[in-house]
Amino acid sequence: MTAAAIIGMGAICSAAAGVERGFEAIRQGTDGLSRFDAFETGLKLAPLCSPVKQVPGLSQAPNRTAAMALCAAQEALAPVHNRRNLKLHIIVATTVAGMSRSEVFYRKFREDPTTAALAAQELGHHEPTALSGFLCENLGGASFCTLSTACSTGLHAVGMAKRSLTQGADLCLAVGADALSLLTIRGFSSLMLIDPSGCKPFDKRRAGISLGEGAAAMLLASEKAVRLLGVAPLAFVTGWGATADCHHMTAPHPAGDGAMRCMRAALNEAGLTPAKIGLIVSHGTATPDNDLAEITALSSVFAVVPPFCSLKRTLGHTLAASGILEAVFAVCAMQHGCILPTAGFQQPDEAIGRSPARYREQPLEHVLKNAFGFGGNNAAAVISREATG
Amino acid sequence: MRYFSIISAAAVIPSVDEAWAGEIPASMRRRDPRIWHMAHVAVARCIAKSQSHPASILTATALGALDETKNFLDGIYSDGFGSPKNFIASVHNGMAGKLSLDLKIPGPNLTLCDGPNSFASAIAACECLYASDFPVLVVAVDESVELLDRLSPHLSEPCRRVIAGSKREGAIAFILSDTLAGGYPRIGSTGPLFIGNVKPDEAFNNNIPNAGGTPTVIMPTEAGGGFIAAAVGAFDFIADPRRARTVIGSFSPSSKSISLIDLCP
Amino acid sequence: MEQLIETLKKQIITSLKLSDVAPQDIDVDAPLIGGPLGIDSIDTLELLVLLEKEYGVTVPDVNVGRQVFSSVKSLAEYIKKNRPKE
Repeated sequence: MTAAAIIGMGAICSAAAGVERGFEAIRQGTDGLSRFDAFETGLKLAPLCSPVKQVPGLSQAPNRTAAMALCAAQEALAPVHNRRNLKLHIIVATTVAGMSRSEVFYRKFREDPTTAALAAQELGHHEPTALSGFLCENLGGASFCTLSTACSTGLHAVGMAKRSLTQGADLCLAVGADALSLLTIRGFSSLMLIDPSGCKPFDKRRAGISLGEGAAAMLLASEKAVRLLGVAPLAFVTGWGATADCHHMTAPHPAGDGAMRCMRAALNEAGLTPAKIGLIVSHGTATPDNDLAEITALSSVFAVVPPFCSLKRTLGHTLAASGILEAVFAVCAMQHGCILPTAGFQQPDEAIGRSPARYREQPLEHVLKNAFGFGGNNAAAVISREATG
Repeated sequence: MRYFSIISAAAVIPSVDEAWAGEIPASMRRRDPRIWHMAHVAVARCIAKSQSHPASILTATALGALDETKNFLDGIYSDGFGSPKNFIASVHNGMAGKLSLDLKIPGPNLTLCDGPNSFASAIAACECLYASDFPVLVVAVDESVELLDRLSPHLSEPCRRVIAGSKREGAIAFILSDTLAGGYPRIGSTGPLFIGNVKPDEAFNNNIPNAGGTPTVIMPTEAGGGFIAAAVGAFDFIADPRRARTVIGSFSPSSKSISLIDLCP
Repeated sequence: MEQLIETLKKQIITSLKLSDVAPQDIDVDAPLIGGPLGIDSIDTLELLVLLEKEYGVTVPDVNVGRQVFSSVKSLAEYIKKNRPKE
């Protein structure tokens, strides 16, 4: 059960490009939502979303998702000035990749079939593996794999990166990215999952999610790589859990069964009792079902539930990026020694019976991150200041 | 590179198998997308052949239910209404979720989307699982999409070859064990390897796994093209009693990458 | 109202692809979700699209939705009450 050293991190979200600036917004409990106006959604009222205002390198990248992913990945790789012939393995997490460009092409093609002539450069952006190829090309990646498990993807990428190191890889970059697209905005809207007045995690009045976009990256290194590169780990990924609810395609198990097993598996791998966890960065999407099921699961796993938070009002729900993006800020919380606030929460829900914590300074040794996706797909990871076990 | 035992395998290739549609459960006919149907039948056949119940699921798909995505967008672009059913079906890991639901498999549930390298990517991903996650159910599935056929003449030649592959639509299910005892055929994979502008054939020759001996090497064009060609090749390998060690290559033009799967009798 | 209910039955059958069901088989008072037609919560999302597309009627939230979809009759009544006047 070897811990994996985190030696670099990167992030771009609606609040800012860069981990430190993004973390400042998280710490302040900033409301990251605004009325979406980047393109016409066809909805009577455009939803409140967390778009990235400026994407560095957008004009040189094939699409928005690729540009954001590269931005985050480059920041994560920055601490390593000389890779010393170590091979870089990249694990990419995305739900719709460059769909924001493909869907525009498709609309034009429907209106004018001669647009087909542009298919070679316009069509393939939504293919997840194309994003990975682009990243390898620009980062000197030797090998990769591309995961797509909806909202849990990013955290699964972190877990797989950890496991890859035990299978012989030296440097493993987990990158997650998703851009706002008509497909996802209208898709979640058709499922009645979007809260028209903005997400309110764990709040009594919560009525759904708010979408966001962004990218994040975590560079993990083997012990050998850490020594060779002469870098100081920021933290360690010490545990990963992956389970399936086996309950429903779009709703979580009401008792949080899969989530519970997932968290236990992550704690087990980290060799930790639940009491060691100082902060939980929840999935906390603010749907009536998720928040209740998640807290029910927490109450089963933790005899005393530690302080928990949701970052989704500040960041929006960034889909595949969320697992890594929020894990990055969990590491920051540990580095700064603080409990994170939950923007958007005001009124406690008696049915949930607990409230997220307020911001305060507090030394942290171990943090738990959750991410749950469509199809009852669950991921959990434990991140620790020092390597355990 | 680690090797796994193939305990059981089954395939649904609609172009050569007319009976498969009769095996789609009634409850799935009404609403679920075609790739879920193909996956379900292939998995049902695979499990029926084997005594073991999988503990985890890995699915491999290049494009997922692309037709469903297209239908959703058609709804938005025509009369402004997108069907929720189409959206749910278009999520790449929907099929994996459905399988876990129907078969009650509560362990790790991952979906790899690496174009023609998807199956190889899934085999390589098995190396990230624990012993307790085995046996693992690996399902490769892709469907032919009429829109792609229509746009194909305008795509690059390598992409055209992938889309036009004769065995480009189907589902192949495997149950893998992490123990090498039992005399089962074995499979290992490099997973996707980025090659940039190196020619695929050259890259294949440089990466043939060193498991000893001179294997038969099947290049993507010989494999009949298509997103699921590697998985079909693996299935054909198992079905052939005279099989000798075979390495099957795949090439993904959109990610400039190759992968190799090594099949040992 | 009778005409609306008859049309609604046909639209439900088409929208949800209930190919084995004929309009006369549908009991207008029976529960829609979890009832004899085998409709679940995902199907009701399709019916919401039907409501807006064919009748210009929306449902404000999930709680009202539960009431509206409690039967074909309650669905018809909701449409009659809320459809935009021509």
